[in-house]
Amino acid sequence: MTRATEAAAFFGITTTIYLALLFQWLPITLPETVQNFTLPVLPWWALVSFGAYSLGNIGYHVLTFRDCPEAYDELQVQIGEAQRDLRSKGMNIK
Amino acid sequence: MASGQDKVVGASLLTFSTIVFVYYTLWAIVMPFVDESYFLHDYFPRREYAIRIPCVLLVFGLTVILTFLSMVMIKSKKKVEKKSA
Repeated sequence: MTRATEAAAFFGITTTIYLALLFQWLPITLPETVQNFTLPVLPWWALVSFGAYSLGNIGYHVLTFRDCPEAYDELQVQIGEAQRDLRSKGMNIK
Repeated sequence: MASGQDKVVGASLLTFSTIVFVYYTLWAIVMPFVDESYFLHDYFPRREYAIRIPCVLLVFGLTVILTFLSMVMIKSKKKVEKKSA
């Protein structure tokens, strides 16, 4: 199953269950507070949680971003080699 | 490691989003089940605002984003017309 199909299936199933509970299509009776306040609030809660998760994820990765000094040194060496090589062939690159 | 300023930005984003998540979850999901006289209710606005605030933010955010998108699209179409004129 591709990622897109998986995501679509997940959303489809959650939406169906949510709508079934919200419009009381099933012979299940939920407690009054849950039916009248929790269910209507759930989509907004999901939206806020998704926003918070995205922001937090970005913040976490900005916080733990790792400079790679080894890659920097290797790159400098390669730049030097390329410069020398081109200079020997007549081109002068800063 | 990321520069000092980057770290501050990242940490503040992270703490802000955690606080938002915890506060909103408590407000929208837990408070309805808590007795009206309990002291915690003083820390939260009325329940309807738990729905109104995300709704307003969503409408506002979508308006800004889609307006920006439409302006960019109009500008690029004008450029294409100018070039072919």
